Amino acid sequence: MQTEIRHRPAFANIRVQLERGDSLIAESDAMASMSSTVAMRARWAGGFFNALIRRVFGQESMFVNEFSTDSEGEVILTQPFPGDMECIELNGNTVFLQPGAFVACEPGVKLTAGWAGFGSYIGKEGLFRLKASGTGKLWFGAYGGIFTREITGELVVDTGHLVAYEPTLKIHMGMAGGIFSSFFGGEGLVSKIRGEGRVYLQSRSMGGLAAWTNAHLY
Amino acid sequence: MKSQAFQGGVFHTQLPGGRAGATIVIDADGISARVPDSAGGETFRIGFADCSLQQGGASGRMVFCRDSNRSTTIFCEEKQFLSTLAASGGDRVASALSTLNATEGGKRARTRRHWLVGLSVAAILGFAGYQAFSRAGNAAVRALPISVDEKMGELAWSAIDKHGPEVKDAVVVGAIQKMADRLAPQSKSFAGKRLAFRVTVIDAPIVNAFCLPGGRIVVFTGLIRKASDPDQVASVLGHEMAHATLRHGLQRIAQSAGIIVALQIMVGDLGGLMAFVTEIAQQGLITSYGREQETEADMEGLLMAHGAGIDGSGLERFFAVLEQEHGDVPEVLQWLSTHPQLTERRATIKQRWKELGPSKAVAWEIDWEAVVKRAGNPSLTAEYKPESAGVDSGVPRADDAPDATAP
Repeated sequence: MQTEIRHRPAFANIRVQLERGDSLIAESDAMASMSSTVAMRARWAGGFFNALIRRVFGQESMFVNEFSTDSEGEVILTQPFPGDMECIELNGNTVFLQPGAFVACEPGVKLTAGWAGFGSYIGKEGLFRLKASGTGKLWFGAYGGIFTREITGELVVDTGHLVAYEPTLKIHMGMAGGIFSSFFGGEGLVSKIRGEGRVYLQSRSMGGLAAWTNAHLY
Repeated sequence: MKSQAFQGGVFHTQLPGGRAGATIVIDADGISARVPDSAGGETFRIGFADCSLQQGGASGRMVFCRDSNRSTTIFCEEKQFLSTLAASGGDRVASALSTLNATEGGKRARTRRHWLVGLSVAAILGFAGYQAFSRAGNAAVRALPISVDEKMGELAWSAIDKHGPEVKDAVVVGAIQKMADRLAPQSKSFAGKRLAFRVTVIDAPIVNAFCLPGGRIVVFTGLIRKASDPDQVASVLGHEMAHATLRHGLQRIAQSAGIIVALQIMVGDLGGLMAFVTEIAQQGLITSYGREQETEADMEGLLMAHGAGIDGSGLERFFAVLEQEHGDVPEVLQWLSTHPQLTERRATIKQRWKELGPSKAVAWEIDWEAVVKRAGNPSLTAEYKPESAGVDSGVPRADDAPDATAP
């Protein structure tokens, strides 16, 4: 299987060239086009209950699509919003994805929904997060560009910018500064990410766009 | 000693991307982490003597073991990992474990304190906000002219489910209107004027009565048939009329409304309020009062009955009849289901009636037997023609004073 992320960073999409016997799991509705030689099969995303949690709390579909072929073929996968995509290789390690970030993975990657905590909910990062573990490639997307930070200590991230992080990191919610600075400086609550590990951030926030749009509607 | 395997991971610069999942084994001398073949299949090792421990990660339960030059970090989240490490490492990890326990204990205590303080502040702010909002809403309701009550009441009347046909029989409706007319002069006045109380009797086996904002009194034939004398019905009417004069319906609307509608009420904009009243009237919530409001209406109703020469203990006796017949199953009686704490209320009513002293009882010019009989037979339809219904008699009650609540 050959893969390539194209048209980065604004309108990233994944081109997957499947060989005979290859298969790929993708988020429901991620397929933009595929060869007629490719078969698509919908299945529960990690069993019924996992799929239900993904749907209710993770803003993801209950189903994922599995693409495979007996000969060869191409699949183009995309995400609903403009922005970059990232591919990482899991070697038995785990990554948490924020709701809506998952795009695709190889069959060796296991997807489950995990409790993120009330702190995460208050910080508008969702009650649940998607846990990707196992072996294989994992693709996820973001609104805007994606940048990574290796943390050994603490990093402060504005709410709505977190895309993915490793389980070795703990997310705390806190204020950006004092009470006055936090609320009148426009930053409000922020995520304080502590520990050792890698975090993937998006350069734009969907909530920020919604607030900006709303302010200019009338 | 038998070694034990766990699933976890390892950070090391030699690994692709600097990290990989790993199978971790604790043996007699230290911790080994073997990464999968896809990541090189290498084994990384940290001896017990070289291991510093830390706990954290997303769950807060992940244990990190770092070597002294921090080039290798082995981590694991499995429950038995720390206890196995303690058992295998013995004295060699005792110091590291003791530092870890002290740090984590302090962190947990801090977190508990933060949660406790946060929840307490949220509860205090929530309660204070509710109280302030409720008081502001009630003050705004008191400032509205009484014509607003009348509009709201009629709007609610057009929206609510009537549960049955209107009884037009002169004997039945006339008797109930006569009770309302006797109580009306004793009701609170607004800038010298009183609400125009109009009686509507509905033929339905419901033991219920209510008075909508503005003064429309609705009595179901089920309640008339259940009462054993006119004083019982008149006392219930007094209680319900008191809800209207105390403007509980409007307060209920203001409290049930969302903050936007409530703010509209406060600034006197009644557009959104109209739609809201229709909605909550359809849900039957407009005459569903709180315990404090019920008690207030009990006391005001007794005062009205006392001034009107009605035996106000009828309210307590009516409760007793219902309690005796239906025991502690209030849901079968709608009037009771909206009036909780029956036993306690009966005692309070009895006490208050006693405190009001003897009243000059005025006999009813009502054939009660005929009223009950005809209320049970709606086919008797000698139509009631109102004479003075809805007209303010203008007779002041004993404690009438210039109304401070009028706008």
